[in-house]
Amino acid sequence: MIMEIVRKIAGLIILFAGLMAIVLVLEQAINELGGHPDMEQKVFWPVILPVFLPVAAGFLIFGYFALQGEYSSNTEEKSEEKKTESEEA
Amino acid sequence: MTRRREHILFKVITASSVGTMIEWYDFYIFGTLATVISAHFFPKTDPTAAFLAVLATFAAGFIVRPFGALFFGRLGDMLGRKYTFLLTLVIMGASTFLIGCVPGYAQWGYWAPFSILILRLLQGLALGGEYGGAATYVAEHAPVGKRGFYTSFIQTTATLGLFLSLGVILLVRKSMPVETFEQWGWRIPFWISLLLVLISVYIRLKMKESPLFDKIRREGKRSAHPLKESFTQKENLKMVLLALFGAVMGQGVVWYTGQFYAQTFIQKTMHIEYEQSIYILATAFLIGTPLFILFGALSDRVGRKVIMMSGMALAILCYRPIYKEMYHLADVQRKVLLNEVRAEEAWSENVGNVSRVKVTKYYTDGTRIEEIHAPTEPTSEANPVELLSTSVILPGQQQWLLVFLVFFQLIFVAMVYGPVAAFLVELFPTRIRYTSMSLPYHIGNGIFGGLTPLIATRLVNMEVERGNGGDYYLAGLWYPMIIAGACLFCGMIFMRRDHNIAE
Repeated sequence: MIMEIVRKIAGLIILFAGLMAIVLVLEQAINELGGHPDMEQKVFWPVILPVFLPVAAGFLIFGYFALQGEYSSNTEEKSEEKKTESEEA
Repeated sequence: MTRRREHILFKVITASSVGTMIEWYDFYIFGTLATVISAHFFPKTDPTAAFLAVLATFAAGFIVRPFGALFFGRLGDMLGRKYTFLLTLVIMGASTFLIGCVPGYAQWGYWAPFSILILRLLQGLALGGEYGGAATYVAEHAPVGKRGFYTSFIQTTATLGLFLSLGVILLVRKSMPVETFEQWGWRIPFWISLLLVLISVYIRLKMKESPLFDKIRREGKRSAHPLKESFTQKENLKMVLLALFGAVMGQGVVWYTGQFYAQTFIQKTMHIEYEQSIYILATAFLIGTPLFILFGALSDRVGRKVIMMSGMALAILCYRPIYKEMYHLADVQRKVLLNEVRAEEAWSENVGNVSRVKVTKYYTDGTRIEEIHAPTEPTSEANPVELLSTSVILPGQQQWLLVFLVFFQLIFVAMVYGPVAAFLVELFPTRIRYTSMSLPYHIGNGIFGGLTPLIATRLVNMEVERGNGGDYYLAGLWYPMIIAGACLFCGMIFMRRDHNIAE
């Protein structure tokens, strides 16, 4: 029971950390690219942003699942039963 | 297990491991030769920009890996493991060979870097498909309860591939004058790949399809839409996310810090002479490789989670002291100068013979530093002679200490990486296993791990620009420490000790 609560709190922390990371990275990118970017900045951000944003979105979904209790023991057992049933079908 | 079954299993492991090792070799020679490639394929107006351009190309090789995982993973779940990872091997071999054939920027202009970029992307795609296939193929032959041990042989291939690439490069470099190596000799390791790939294709062609995949094919249980099933069904998607954020993301950064950032740090921050740096890294990798098998086997007994999480925790705690100690080994501020010898020499460069001043400094602890200067006299203190390059040559005892410090990082690498193939394989059912395990693996390793040198170098540069002295050289470690910390947090809370699909 305690672990289930800890998992939900962790889900909230993940959601918050994911949003913070997106805001901070975008802010940094806009600041650097908006001014007079040097060669290093011009190479760095176009590589990082298209990669970072989808991964950050995945992190938010992970946090959402955690908050919904998807990683609690009971839910996982049900999921595994469901998975086995769908395979057998 | 009968002797015959064990014999078949080791044939499976050999066929899979040799091919995967060759793919890693192909992939790593590019990174190891980044500086030479930079001089040939990117405009030399700004050396940092040229180096960054190569790093970006290197990163591009990593970024496309998840796409390779999706494309080939889908094929592997629909058509079978054997032919899919045969195809990835051929694509990798052909692109590596062609990188060795592309004319330089001076002959081909912008076509040269463009071709290199395309071939590098193909390498990344092929690697994205290879690893999942090899790990799945071995795991599906291995008995339940020993998957950690048997798949750990696949886990050694990345380090062995790196070791092989360093060894081949060193051999080629020593067999000819440095100028010849820099002009065209660097192409030989790329050409050698063709031979290695042909041998591996021959071995793999003789292997049979995985028994578990064969079974679901005969029973008509193969997935018709592996991508859809893996990433749109909540039961599978949540496991993909757990694998990524609770295990592979941290494993990726620990792996790349121990093997690649260590290399960048030794060569670019400590300025250890090139050949000595290769000897140091290769020795540490060779001694450290059996640890992958040790921790893989141990994970069958004590569980994957405890070993992987301990590896991440140790890495976070030890990185700063390790890198501080590494830096101190080459720090001249802490050494006493004994003697200095200056000599003017003629150097052969692309523009012809030029004059250079070589200054060799000897220190009381046995360290030797070779500095190459432009041959002009300093006009003032603010305008000293131009220092073109510095090479630090460590004496025996300090060299071995550096080997130990790199090896020490390999313990964490083996702890997080040794059990990870078995962990991933056991999270997903056979029908979507190739697709589902490949994507998180290649996002974790390719993106989080592969970008480690790029992001860490940038963090150090930012620290220098801010004018922060002191431990500025440790700033790059924040990236792997934060990512591994986040992964440890997620893994400890959400990962169960017994996530295991026993088929």
